[in-house]
Amino acid sequence: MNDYRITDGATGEAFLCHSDENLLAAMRRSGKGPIKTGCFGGGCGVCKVRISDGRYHVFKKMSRAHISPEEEEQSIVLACCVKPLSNITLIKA
Amino acid sequence: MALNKTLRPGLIQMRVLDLDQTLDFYTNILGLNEVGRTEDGRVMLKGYDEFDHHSVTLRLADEAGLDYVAFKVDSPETLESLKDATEAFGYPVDEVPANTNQPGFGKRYGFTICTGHRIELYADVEKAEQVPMTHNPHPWVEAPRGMRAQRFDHCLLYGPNIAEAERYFTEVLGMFAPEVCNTPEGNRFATWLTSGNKAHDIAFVEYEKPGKIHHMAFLLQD
Repeated sequence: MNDYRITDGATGEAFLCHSDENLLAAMRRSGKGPIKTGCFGGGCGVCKVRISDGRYHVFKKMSRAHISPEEEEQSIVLACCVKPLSNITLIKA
Repeated sequence: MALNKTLRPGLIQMRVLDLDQTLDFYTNILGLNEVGRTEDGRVMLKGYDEFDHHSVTLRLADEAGLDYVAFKVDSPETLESLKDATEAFGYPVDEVPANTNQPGFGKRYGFTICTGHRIELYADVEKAEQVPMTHNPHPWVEAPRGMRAQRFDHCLLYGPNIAEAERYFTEVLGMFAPEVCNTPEGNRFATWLTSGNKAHDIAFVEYEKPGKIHHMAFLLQD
């Protein structure tokens, strides 16, 4: 298991995320990043982000009330449903 | 004897994004018992201490949320009169025949209130296969798991115009608002409603998006 560097594209702030950890959990654990917390279930939509750089894996179903199939194709995702596969740059969506 | 003709919220159906993971939580952590599956794959659950067929149904869907909450009323006569009163209040009522999409449940009347939530009413429901003992009873038939949740207790719903929802529940369903919360301008912001036996059976918070649910609650012994 290794750590990836996650960068907030809006502020430049960066924090680490374990490879088996979702992006929102990393934000909460580090106290950094654009979102403080959420439902962690893919249902509330508070952790909506756009990933502008990097590879990632959507491991949990995201509520279609918050992420349409078109948005998902534009790398707009829920941070609690995503694990990093490389360093990532994201912004709050 | 019940204090009100509308007895309690007896059934809630929720949409979930991951049925297996949710079920693991509801059965092993919360401690509800799975009573069966419907033909279309929904899961029926009940608390170990409940008598009625089931109190929670989970439906796998693409969006999480509340499908409906159904209130048990004290008789078929009450059910018919509440149906008329609901229509007179201004909500069109549809009828769900007995034993169709909720096995074990009698006829239900359903309607969507101003907050965007679907509310249902019913009088008849079959007993579950496994009910609490009533003669020289042990505390349970089978030791419950996890939190040992006794029953589905209440829910908190979010939506617009909760002042009208409060009027419906008090004027038509005969419930009472023991606690309300207003904005500084005096508009209703939150309301808690009870049929009298519990602190609240349902509650609402004013919110611009319709049909939302904040939480559903289960009673624990301690």
